[in-house]
Amino acid sequence: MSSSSSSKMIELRSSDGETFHVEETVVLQSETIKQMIDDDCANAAIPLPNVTSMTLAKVIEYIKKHAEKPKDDDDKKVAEEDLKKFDAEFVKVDQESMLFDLVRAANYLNIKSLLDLTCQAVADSIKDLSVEEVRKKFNIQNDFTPEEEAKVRKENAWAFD
Amino acid sequence: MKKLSAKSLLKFRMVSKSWKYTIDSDIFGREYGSRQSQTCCFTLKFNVGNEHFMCSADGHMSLSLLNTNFPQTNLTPITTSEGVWCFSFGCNVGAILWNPCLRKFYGIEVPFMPNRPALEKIVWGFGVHPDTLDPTILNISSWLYGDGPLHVLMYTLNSDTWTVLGNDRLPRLDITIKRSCGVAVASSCIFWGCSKSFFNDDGSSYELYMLLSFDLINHQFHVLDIPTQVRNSLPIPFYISNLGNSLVISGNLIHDENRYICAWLLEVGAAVVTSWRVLFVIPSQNIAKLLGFTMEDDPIVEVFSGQEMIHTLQVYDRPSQQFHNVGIEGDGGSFFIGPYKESLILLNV
Repeated sequence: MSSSSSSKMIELRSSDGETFHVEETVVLQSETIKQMIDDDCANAAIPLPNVTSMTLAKVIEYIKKHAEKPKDDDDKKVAEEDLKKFDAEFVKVDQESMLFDLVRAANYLNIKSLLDLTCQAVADSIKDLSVEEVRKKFNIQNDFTPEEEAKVRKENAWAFD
Repeated sequence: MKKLSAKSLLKFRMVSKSWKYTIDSDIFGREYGSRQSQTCCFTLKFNVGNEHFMCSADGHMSLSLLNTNFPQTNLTPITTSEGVWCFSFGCNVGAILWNPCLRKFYGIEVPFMPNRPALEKIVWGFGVHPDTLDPTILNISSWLYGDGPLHVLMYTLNSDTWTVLGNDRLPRLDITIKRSCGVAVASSCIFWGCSKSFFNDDGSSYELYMLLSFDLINHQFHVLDIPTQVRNSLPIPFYISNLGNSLVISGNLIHDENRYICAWLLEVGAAVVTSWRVLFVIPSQNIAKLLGFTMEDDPIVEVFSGQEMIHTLQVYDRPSQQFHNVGIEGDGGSFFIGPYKESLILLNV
């Protein structure tokens, strides 16, 4: 459907040296890369020193899926449903570190929809955690004194139910 | 972090000092903004005799009681803006701000002003600044008799002080603000209904209804004409409210002995109505007052039930094209609805 051969291919290089070939129309979803292409800096492989090959492969899977164009209105509804399912599955990653890598990559590559999707997934994964669990998850030192902590808890006791 | 609910953020203030500092900061509060909640649709207030009820309603109109942690007697809702409620309390001696999603409230006293009219009529206004999210309260005092100048006090939460507005910001003198029309916030402005009296040659008088606006950004009043076609069929009394960023005028009309509740949607700027359309005309056997809208923008009304003082809450049902009683009874005129929005306004008071 979208694999027209006429589109120009762009070469991306991950931090660990692997190269990926992606159609220009697909990769334009990244504002960062779009800027580079506009500035004529995309003639050679674009180095992405902050993104590993594993993460980049996931990002490319995402933007390829989101670049598919439905043919007509009937198709459009089906495609929208399909995209929703894809997004929901996409953020179900085995390792949580992958989710954070995707947030960082989406932020660096400036792909707003992917950033929204992954941030929401991170928020959903912590919203029901206790304060202690959040500290553990993000490796955060509790720097409140017991008195300060009790005061903060008391201010909004109902939120800890 | 901006994707989290306000309640989760309250909890996570305890994670560490830097988390608390970030969540409490003005910048984070502004960027968090105010947003529709997935689960909660609106907040409803009503009275039954001396009992006061404050509820939240979800998309299916099922209500749960809210714990307000402040006494509700002597409180009169003024309006809501970005999910924050503003009440006047006592005999207009002060105001209370309340953010239901944070369960936080803040009371503000009106300072004594020796140069205010002795016999005064007080009109309140309230709105949240669209960019800074600063809650702004207006206390407008006018002479009960005669045409003395208005005296307007403005309070903003960020400054935590009342200031007297200068004459250059006030509306023209020949209008009377109609308290009964209510107050609404739309398009960065607070709106009231107002009227101007005209005298015929034979000494009889008639009133021309208009809108008064207060721009929350530049703090300037304006008087707006109601579009002629709307004004020609304007029900008396009429009420103003908002739907999203648009202003709504509503009331009851009788046509061929049938009663209808009707509403117009007005797109407004600070000083002018830019466009309008009929929002709905729905047959209603009894007098009905528009309170607000569901998540699907269907009207919610308070309906005179036939018994003295007892009114019921009814929601428009599209398939049957009628209002449907949702089984809530309360005192007439005590129902008040505010759209539910999540924000961090009042977090630091």
